[in-house]
Amino acid sequence: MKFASSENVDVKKNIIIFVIISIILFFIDRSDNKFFKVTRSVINDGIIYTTVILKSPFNFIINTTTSVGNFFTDEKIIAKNKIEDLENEVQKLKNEKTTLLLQIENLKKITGEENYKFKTIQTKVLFYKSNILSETIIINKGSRDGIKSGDPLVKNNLLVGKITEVNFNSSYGVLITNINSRVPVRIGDKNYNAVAVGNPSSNNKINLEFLPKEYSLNEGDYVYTTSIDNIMPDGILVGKIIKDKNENFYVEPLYDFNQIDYLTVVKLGS
Amino acid sequence: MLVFIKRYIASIVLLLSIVISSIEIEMLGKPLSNYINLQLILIYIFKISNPSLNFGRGFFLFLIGIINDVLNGLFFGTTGILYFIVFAVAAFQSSIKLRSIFISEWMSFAASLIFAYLVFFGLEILHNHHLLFSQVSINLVLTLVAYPFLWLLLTKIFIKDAIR
Repeated sequence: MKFASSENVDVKKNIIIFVIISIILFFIDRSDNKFFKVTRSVINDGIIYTTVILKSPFNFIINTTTSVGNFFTDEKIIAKNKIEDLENEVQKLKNEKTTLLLQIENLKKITGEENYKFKTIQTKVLFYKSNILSETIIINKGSRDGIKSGDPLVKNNLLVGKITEVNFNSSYGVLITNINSRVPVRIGDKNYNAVAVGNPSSNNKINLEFLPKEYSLNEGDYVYTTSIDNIMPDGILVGKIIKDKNENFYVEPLYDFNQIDYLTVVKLGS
Repeated sequence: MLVFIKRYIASIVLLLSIVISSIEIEMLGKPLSNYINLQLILIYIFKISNPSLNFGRGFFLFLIGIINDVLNGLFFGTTGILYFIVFAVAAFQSSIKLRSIFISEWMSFAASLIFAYLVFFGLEILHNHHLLFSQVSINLVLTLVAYPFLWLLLTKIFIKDAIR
């Protein structure tokens, strides 16, 4: 019987050593050291793409299981679900058309142009992780493709989030519904300026901060990004105004966050 | 190959749990990882049920922590600190026990979890990040509730032969 084997003593020493190394790493990483940033980018890219490969068999198993499950599902139920899906899709497209027409009208008023003056780049979402530690989107394009921290992530002209950190071949992003996200916006025809901040209690609501002292919002007013301090391009649709029972106004995002597969990055630096 | 897997089962399972957690498995509209911190339970159970299991003398635990930091966009070392808090408590608990008393193990897991989350809160404040206290509390309670089930599942199945 061993009460204090040499290995156990070693492990206790190692725990202390690794905790100290972890704390040192944390503070170096936090200090934004240039050399460490490059090293971190290389490590990040390596780990991210290795995990994508490791994850692929599990994705395959899940997709196969879903396909097999669908095969045995009653045909009538499948047909009914398909009809419901199509009805939803039609409704979604109608909404999208309306919002896009409104957006184009608004863009014309502001810039006299119909398209963004910024270059865009299509990206694939490698990971979307949401847990109590963090909520992160990882995309497959990085600084080598000209992506910079702060660039907006859009899909179908709807704002989805923004880039928070860039590696060489991948980037981290955060959704607009995240409590750490801050986006300057303007609201409705009167163009009230405010800051859209993720709502702590709901994934489908965005709070509005720094509204002017006197404002009158209407339910259904559209909310767009604004280019104050050039941190965001003007005119990307964020959502529309909703009012709760307590007469508080929120923004309801128009993008369906369950469909994060491919996103577009608007390159602010271009 | 089988011997290798058996020896390193703890590190392999922990690594796989991180990889799999990036696949969306939802419950009540939120990913499962929002409710339960599976990794911390695994570390504690592996160590408590086999005191000679040390995750490669702590090196693999450190490495897996870095991988988790990368995939979650956290500063390097954040997850490592949390992992080593739980690992240290489990190591202490497993060294003082004469026989397995489940309740005392469970309580010490609760203490390590609360301490780890408090440290995480502190690190996030340094990072100027906002955390939802309610969400973290739910996660803490559900992680504690899930512990006995995973304890039953893991200790009775496959970790007795693991030594690294």
